[in-house]
Amino acid sequence: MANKRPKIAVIWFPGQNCEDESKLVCEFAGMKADIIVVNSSVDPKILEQYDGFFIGGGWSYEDRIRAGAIAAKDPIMLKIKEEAKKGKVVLGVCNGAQILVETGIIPGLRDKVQLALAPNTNPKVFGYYNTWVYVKHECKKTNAFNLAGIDEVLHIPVAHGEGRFTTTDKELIKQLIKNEQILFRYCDEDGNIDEKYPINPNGAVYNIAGITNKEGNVLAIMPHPERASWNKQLPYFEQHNFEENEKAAPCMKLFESIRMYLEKRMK
Amino acid sequence: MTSTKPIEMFVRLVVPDNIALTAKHTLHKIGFKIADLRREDYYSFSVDAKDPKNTKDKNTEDLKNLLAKTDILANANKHKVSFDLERDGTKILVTDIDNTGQGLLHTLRERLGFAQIQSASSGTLWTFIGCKEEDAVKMTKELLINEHYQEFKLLQ
Repeated sequence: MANKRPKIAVIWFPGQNCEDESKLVCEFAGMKADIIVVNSSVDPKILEQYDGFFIGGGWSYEDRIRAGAIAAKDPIMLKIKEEAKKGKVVLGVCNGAQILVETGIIPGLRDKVQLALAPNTNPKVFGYYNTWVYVKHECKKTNAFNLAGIDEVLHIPVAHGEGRFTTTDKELIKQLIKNEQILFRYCDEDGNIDEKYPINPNGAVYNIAGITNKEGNVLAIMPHPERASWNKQLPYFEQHNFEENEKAAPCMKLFESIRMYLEKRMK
Repeated sequence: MTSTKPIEMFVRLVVPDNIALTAKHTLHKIGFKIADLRREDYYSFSVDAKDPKNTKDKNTEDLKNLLAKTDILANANKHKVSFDLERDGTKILVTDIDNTGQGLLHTLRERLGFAQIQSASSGTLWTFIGCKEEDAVKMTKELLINEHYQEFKLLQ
């Protein structure tokens, strides 16, 4: 159908706090978005009517036990796992990424948890760390998140205490590189990779900032693209006039990619 | 050569523990049976034992009293501090694989003046009531740790 817009369900677990900005960025990119409040009365089947899912940032269940651990066991995540297998898009940002990793949907190569988002190792700040970083897009394979084209280097904020991608599986990172599942890596302004702080803000293995599943329709990313999607959100926005500031910034392409990918699926 | 002796410290909430309650409810939801689940903050210290001030029992007790009163490790308004492991249920200690305890040690030695403490580590102690040991291990693996940065051991 010509004017049908893809529908995104913004999943809102108790304790998360990015639902409105997540909804807004989906709408600006040309999709419809509803906020789905996860509580004991929500029927996971409601998700069947959506084309994609956005699990945003915050502290689901107050990070009780560890970040993402409780939400990962919610029946709604089982449903999202099922829907992702059909090719629907799933984006997990920050706490959403932690939940996807705790469910095993990311990296999704085996039916088990293969990664952790462990507490940051940062020589300057213990615990929660909030700053602007650069990430490099180095995935040559087209997926649901780079279809519209992504700048090679993105300026983007991070805000987390448990964002260090790590694994005890020594072969996994090699496999992720081979499969082109590592979508974003922390880098400097010119795209140079340095594993040390402050380029790598949390000590993540291989400077990983974002990982997709093998099929490329699920992304777990620790930085917040929805907080860098308009010029007015960027730290140097003062150099632009009002009209310029209301325009999309480079990170918006990630959401435009999702729309394009879903529109293709809907044809 | 200076020798050391270990001190273990257990810090438990005396108000309802929302983390333990949420963990118990989640375990029930995913199909495990358990009567109760408790959680304590666990600290382990190596204390200089050659220093004459620390070799007598009284000095050890004084040190324990001081540790219990540091509001860094426990808040007297909501925590109960113990230096003995209670003998009930199945005890599982969860720790971070790469946490060397250097941050805690630095705080205790440099900020609070506990010069006699040579090393420190911390973790979370879970007590499973009303289930078999093997089930407690299964529950730990399923919910209470992520094996890619944490590990666990049974405390006897």
